[in-house]
Amino acid sequence: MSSTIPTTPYFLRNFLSKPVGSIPRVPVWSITFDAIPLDIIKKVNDYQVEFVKPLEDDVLAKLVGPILHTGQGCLFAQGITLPGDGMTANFEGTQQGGLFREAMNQGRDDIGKVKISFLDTSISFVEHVIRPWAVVTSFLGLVARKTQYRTVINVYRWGLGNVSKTPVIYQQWHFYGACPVNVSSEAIEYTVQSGFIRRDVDFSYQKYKYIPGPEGTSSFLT
Amino acid sequence: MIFQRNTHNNEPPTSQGSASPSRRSLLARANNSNNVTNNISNRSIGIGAQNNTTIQTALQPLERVERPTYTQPDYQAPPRTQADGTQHNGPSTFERVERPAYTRPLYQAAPPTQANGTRHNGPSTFERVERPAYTRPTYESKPSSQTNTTTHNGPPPNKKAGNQPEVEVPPDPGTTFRIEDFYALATKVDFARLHQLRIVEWVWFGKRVIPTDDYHLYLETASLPGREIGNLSVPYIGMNFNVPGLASYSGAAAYNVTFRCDQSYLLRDIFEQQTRTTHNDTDSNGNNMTPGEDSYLVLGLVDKQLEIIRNYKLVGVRVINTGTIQYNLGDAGTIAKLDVTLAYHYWTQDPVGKSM
Repeated sequence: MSSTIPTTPYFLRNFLSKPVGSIPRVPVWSITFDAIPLDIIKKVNDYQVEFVKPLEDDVLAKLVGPILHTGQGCLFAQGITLPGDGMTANFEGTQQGGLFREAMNQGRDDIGKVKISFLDTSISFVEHVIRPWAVVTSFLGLVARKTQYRTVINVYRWGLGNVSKTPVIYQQWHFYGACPVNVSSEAIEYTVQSGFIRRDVDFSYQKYKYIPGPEGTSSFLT
Repeated sequence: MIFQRNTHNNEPPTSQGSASPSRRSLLARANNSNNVTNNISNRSIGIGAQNNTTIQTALQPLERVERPTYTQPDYQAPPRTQADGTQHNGPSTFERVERPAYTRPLYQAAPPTQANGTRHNGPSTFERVERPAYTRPTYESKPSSQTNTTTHNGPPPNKKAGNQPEVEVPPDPGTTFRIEDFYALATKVDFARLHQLRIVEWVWFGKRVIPTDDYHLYLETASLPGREIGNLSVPYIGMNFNVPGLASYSGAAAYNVTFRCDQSYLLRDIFEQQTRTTHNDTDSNGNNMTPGEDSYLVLGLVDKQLEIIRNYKLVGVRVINTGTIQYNLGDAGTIAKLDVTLAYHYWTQDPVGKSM
């Protein structure tokens, strides 16, 4: 228990004005896909007749190429919702007078989904890449297959401790075995357009890792 | 007969015959000298020698006699009779009495009447209030780090590089507050004027918006674009700390420019065409591309010699509103104005005035 009365100068001097207390610039982030499975996306018409023909190979290659995806991350992404984690804790045992019952773990919560919002442009990344990917995934049944239809989604958060340093990755998440399982619908209307179109996609994954930045953590604590 | 005047001891005058031997010798010497003097005088004024004795008597010198030191007797004033018949030896009524130093009372103005009819006793506007004497603060510069890791408060040392002459570093002017300092600074650095703004270049998708630069002179009003850092409020014990956030360009979504309207409506036509090129509702066609770095507006700030000293480049600029012109058939001839609204993404600034 602290024996010192909390004061605002102390909070400013020892925390907020130090690198450890610097407020992250939330919008400075990026995501990348390790490898988008173009092979199965091109064969979507083998699984579903509605997709008569995907984009040409060269166009599709550009759409998932380095300029739009690996240079500064996926430029179509507009937002991402990182899943939480938890478990179910219930109180078990016999109630004995004024004693509290102990909380017991009833199991970890189900693994969540990563929701990514994509900017819908004239050549829609969601319609030409994500939707056929999700269709093929549904046919493959989310089970282990020799056909590689999963990938890794990498999420990076960038920050800096002070002005003398370049931004560093201070947080990164890696979602392994990710594949799209849900593509949002889109309403097209005649009303005056007041904003751009965002398409939300849910990605299922098998496990995830959280890794502090390679040098970000130490720089924020020194 | 010669008399001696003795005013101090009040002795009666004595004749020369009865004088003491020492006094007689003194008088004899004095007579000899006076005779010479009198002879010269007699020649000049023409008086006969028979009168020498009378003149000699009148010019007899006075003998200096030491007088005793005067001692003031103790004066004791008699008792004075008071109004009640008693007598006392106290100080006279004319005796000087020390008075306390005169202090000028503060002027208290009459309570002025307020607008609501009430009066108050607050300090008058004419009341003199003593202020503490102004002491000019001394500016102490922050110690600057030297190459040898020492710190000092003086001006940075002059650096010598090879045979380069020693550069004289001007002294730190410090902080000044006097009117003379303001005047000296104003005459030195002058002021920027609100008319020192020009349109240098205006390009939209790689093409000049206004074909002839002369029409840039019809610009009447514009503003320097703004840039701001967002504020993040972090609370702690009921107080918000204002933490800097990210940058944004205030006013970038609606940047207003006013032109004088030319008689041929060329400028108006240019702005109308740009909006129709962006989207033409008659055929639902238009340029769907986002204006990029090949669409920009360069504003230039000029100095007194009309030389551009700063350039502001608005990147991704486009016309979003041509504005309206209100006509009035009863008007006396006011120049029509074009209030155009532009939008851009961000701006950059070139401090040296080079072409961007």
